[in-house]
Amino acid sequence: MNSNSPKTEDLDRLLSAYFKQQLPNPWPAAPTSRFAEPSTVAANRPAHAERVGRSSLTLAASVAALLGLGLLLADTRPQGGVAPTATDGSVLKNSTANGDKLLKHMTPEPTHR
Amino acid sequence: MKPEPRSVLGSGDGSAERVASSDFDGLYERYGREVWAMSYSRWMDSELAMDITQEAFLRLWKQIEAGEEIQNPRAWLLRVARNLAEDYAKSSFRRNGTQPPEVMNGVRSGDVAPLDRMEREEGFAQIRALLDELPPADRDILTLKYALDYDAPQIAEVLGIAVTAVHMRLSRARQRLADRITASGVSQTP
Repeated sequence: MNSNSPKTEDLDRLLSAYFKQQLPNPWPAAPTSRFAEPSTVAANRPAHAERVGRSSLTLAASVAALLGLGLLLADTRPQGGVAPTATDGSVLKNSTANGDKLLKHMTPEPTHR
Repeated sequence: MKPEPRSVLGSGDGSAERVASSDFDGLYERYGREVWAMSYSRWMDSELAMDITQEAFLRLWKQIEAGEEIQNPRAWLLRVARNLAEDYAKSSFRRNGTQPPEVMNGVRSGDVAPLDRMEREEGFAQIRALLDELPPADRDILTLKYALDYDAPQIAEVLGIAVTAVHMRLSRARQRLADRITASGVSQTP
C-alpha cells in the first residue's frame, strides 16, 4: 500500500465531514405543508358516493321548492276574469312585493358575454 | 359494489396501509434524506438534490390525493428522483451552466475562522471534483455511507445489491478516491 495514501480513518473523517456539510441543515419541511390541506380533512369527508347522493337530493329539493313557489305564484296572478285572492295583489300579507317583479326576478337573466 | 380506491401505500415489506397526512410526514422523515443522497450522488449539487427531493415528494402527495395506489413508496420515490435528476439537471445546466465548486461548497459552521474556512472550502471543492470523477455507482455508496451513516446492509437495501457487493464496491471506491487524493495533494484534515 502506498505510504503516502491517506489512512482509512483519515479518509473516513474527511469524507464524513464533506458529505455532512453538503446535507441541508436544518432539514426542510415536507413540501405538502405549503400546498395541501391536511388529509385528516379528506379522511373525515364522506365517501364520494355519499356526497354525490346528498348533492342530488339537495338539488332536487331546491328545484322542487322553486317549482312549487312558481306554481303558487302563477295561481295567485290574475288570469282572465279570475280575481286574485289577495285584495292588493300581493302574495304575502302586508308585503309590498309585486308578483310580476318576483316572477321576473325568478326568470333567469340571459347571460351577457 | 367495489369501493372507490383510496390512497394506499406499502411500507416496503409487501403490506399495504391506508395513508394519512401523518403517514406522509413519516415517509418524508424516513426517506427524505435517502432520496436527497441518491439525487446528490448523481450531480454532486446539494441544492439541486433538495429541489429534486421536494419535487419527488410533492408528486407522491399528488398521487395520494388522486387516490393512486403505491405499494412501495420508497422504491417509487427513488425511481422518480432518479428520473428527475436526469431531466432536471440537464435543463438546469442548459439554463445556468455549471457553477464553480466554491459556490456549491459553502461552509456552514460559524465557528470556523475565515482562513480556515477558506482552506476548508478549497479542500471540499477539490474533494467534490475528485468525487465527480468516480463512477456513479461509487458515488451512490459513498454518499449513503458518509452523508447518512448507512451501514452495508442499509446501503444494499437501497441500491438493491448484495451486502458483499457493497463491501467490495466501498473498498474499491475508497481506494480510487485515496489514490486521487494522493495524486492531487488534497489536505486530509477535515
